[in-house]
Amino acid sequence: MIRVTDLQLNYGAARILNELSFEIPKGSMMGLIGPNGAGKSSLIKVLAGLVFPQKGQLEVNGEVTAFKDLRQRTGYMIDAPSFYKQLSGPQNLRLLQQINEVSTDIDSLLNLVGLQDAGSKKIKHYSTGMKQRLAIAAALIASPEILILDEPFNGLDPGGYKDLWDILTGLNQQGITLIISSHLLADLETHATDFMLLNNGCLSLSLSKSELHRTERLISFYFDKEITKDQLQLFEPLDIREWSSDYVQVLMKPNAIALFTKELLDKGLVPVNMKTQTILQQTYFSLSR
Amino acid sequence: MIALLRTEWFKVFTSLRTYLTFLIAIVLMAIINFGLYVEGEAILAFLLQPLKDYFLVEGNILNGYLIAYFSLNTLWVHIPVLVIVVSAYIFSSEFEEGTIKLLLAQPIKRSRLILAKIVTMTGYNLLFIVVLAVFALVPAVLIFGTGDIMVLNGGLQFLLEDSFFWRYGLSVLFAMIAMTAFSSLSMYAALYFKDSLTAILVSFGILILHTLFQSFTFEVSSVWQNLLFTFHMSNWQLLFMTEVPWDQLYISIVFLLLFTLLFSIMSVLRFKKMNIS
Repeated sequence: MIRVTDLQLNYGAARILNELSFEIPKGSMMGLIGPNGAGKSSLIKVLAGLVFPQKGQLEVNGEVTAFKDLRQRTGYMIDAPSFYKQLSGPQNLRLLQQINEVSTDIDSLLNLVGLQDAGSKKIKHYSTGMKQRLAIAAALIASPEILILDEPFNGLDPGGYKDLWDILTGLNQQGITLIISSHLLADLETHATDFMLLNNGCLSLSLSKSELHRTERLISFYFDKEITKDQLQLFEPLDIREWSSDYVQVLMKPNAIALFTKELLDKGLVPVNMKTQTILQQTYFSLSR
Repeated sequence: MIALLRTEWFKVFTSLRTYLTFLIAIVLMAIINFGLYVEGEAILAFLLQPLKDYFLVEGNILNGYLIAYFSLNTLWVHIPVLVIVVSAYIFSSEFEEGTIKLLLAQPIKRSRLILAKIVTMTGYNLLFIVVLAVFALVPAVLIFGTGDIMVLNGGLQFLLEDSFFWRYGLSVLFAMIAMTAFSSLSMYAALYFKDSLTAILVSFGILILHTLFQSFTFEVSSVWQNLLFTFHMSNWQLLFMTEVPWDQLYISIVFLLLFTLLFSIMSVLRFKKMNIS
């Protein structure tokens, strides 16, 4: 369990993180979400010991720890991955292996991230996807308990994107706690177990996956013809947020969606499209506007 | 610490820039040798013209030892520029390329990392000066032979062939101290600006400025001179005086060592507190 209390970070006069407190359960996959400038990357940099907060306390498994000492048990992927361009991928990993004084099997790591065939290719010839994969391998070099990844999916093609999720899910199943900062809300909602939404350096929302599944969703129904008054009455028991001649948006519990849709079909009102927004997406989009 | 040193050393010697600086220094020495091979006699005859009535010059005056001494004069500007390039690169390239985040995300102490970099930078300087010294001397001796040397250094100095090696050896040691002092300045500039080009320009600017001040002849300049690191850097030439003014030499060595220590401490303190955003 990672517990952060009253974290405050300023860059000059600008307050970047403001009295931020949160908990990350051991073995969880925490999705760190927020619009640009919310403070996600800054939070990750504090946790990596790259920037020094003005205030705040960190506890790991009940032990008070300095922020910079979290590195002893954590692997990081920060910003766009950067490596020594004049070296190959395995050489870069060996360099990190030496610094960490560990004897991790480099070939296994390369296999894990799908770079077993990269051989002696220099980093300057690596694609973005290859660098992302190598960054994951680098983060795993000292067999960390915690893995913190900042926008790991940037620049990946669909294949690489799926592979990376498979790798991360696998690592989480092995007991590694993951903190993933990403704008890909739908994917995070599928894979992550807990969520934290930041805005202007403050925590806007924090919930677990089970809480997410219990909270009401914003459902938009689209129809290919005008809705009659009688048909609109079907929606009246619900919390209607918006409506027009061929569109209705309501707030409803997730477990009621299927039944209500069936009721619409039974009454001959067939939606041509449906969009669902979780509380996380609603909050995120309202903050991004 | 050993692991960090090994990785820093590995990074420096897998960088093309390192080899380029060695190559440039060797080419510089080759050009000096070639130039003096072609025009050395004429230059020397011109320089000795006023002395012809007073001295009887015998033997090989244009010899390898004189040329090695002449080559050491590149320590004024040429060599410091090459030293800055690599020193600034060791530090600021990590910021420019973002690899500093990769390094600092590892569980290593910042003070250890910067100490490893300082030691690597110093090691590089020592190696660079040794290579320079060898390439300044060996080809010159092979081409021009050996002999007594006559140099214009605070007046005309006549130095016996036998004394050349200790003078040259100590000059090389002095050059190592001087270049390390200068690279500690460029290291601090690199940490301050986090950009190698700016760091190189600033360090070079300071070198030029100090050299200019040093050349001023007005009253206060003698007081200033003692505070200019270029003044102390150039004092290796004292070793090529018939009577070496050791006291002055020791002062310069202490000055340069304190200069190195000051900028190294400032760099460590700055790096330890620095936000890498």
